[in-house]
Amino acid sequence: MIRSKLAIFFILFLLSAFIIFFNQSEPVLLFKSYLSGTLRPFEVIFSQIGNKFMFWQNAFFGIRQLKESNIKLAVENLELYGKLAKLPQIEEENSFLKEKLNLADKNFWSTSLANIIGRDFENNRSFLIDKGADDGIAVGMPVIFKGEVVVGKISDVNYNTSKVKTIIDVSSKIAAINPAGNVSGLVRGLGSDIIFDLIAKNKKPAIGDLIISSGTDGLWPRGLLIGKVKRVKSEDSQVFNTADIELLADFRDFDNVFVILK
Amino acid sequence: MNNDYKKIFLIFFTAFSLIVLASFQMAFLNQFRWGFNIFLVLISLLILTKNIYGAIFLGWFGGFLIDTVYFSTFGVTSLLLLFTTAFLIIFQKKVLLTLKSENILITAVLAVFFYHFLAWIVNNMLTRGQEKFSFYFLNSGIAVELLLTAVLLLIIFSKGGKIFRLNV
Repeated sequence: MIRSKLAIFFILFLLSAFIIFFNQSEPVLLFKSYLSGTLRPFEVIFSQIGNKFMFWQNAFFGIRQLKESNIKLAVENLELYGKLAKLPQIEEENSFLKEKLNLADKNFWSTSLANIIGRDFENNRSFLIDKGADDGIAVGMPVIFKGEVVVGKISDVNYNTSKVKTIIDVSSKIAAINPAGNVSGLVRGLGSDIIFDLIAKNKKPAIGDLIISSGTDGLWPRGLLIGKVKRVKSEDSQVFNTADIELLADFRDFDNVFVILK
Repeated sequence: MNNDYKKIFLIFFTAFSLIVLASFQMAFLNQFRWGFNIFLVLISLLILTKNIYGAIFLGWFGGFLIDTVYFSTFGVTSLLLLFTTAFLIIFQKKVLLTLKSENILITAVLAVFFYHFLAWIVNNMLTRGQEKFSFYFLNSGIAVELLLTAVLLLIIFSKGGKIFRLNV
């Protein structure tokens, strides 16, 4: 009796180990695709029910938080009004200079809207969207929120679903820069947070500075918003300066994302 | 012949139930900041009711379903749940011989801690030491998971005591 249990355990262990080591092989990918395809209809139903629950939960329990964020937004709004007043003049100058220099408009991405239908347990490191290879999604495509805020990258594609690894995952790395363009470095995931690393010793970003993708890595388009500088760390014993980055949005607050196709 | 049909039906029904449960975990429960792992609760329940084969297969297959959204390599959760099951079986046989409330509590705590510990070790091996210990242990989520797993198991055994014919 004990022997048969041991034998079953050993066989299943070998099968799991085989699948882990050959996770990019054809049979494993097919198995994964079939599993995802089977789960998809149930996930769509449960995610819609969950979204409704979340809405009412936030409505009941998040009133205090809403009030606080409302005050913060009102202050930010005033600052933005000031900037907005100068914007038409800058836009006019910009279009005039573009015309003179014969420059093409940038950021014409083709995107695809996808709903989030599954999430990883207790963290924001990965989630599942309802678009897959049949919709033109491929591994490595950048994923953003509305407002060009970086979310992550497609890490796995099935026929009708895809897995997104968010920027907080330890495998995530983005070449980044501040909007003024004088501080550059690498934003990398720490598992539950992100850090702006490899900043030259003589450079320091200001607290509150926005950090955007620089596009120099060739993997991420230029100009995507990553986060805000929370704290700058500069130690004499370290070769580079680093900065803690505050994410602009909680990944859990969104039901859908955009995948940049081209 | 009739028995064969019953067995086939039972296998399909179990697989279907697992698919629904996994979808519920990934699409509904995981949306909330606080949660628990349904599969850990089920495995603990099966081990406590001495359904060893059921626990092993549930851990193995359930892991693959969860792996469709897990951040690590496909197959890792299956391996983690399989080893957690083996650990709990051994612990149940060698240490927790009787089914008391304290033992149910210990099983729940051990299941959650061992699973997280193993996840940290395995993912660290796969990412070459990039995983932080704090991500797996020093967060409020694990405390709630511990509490919910223990409470759920206690409720199941106290309410379902008659069904399982247990003296808790």
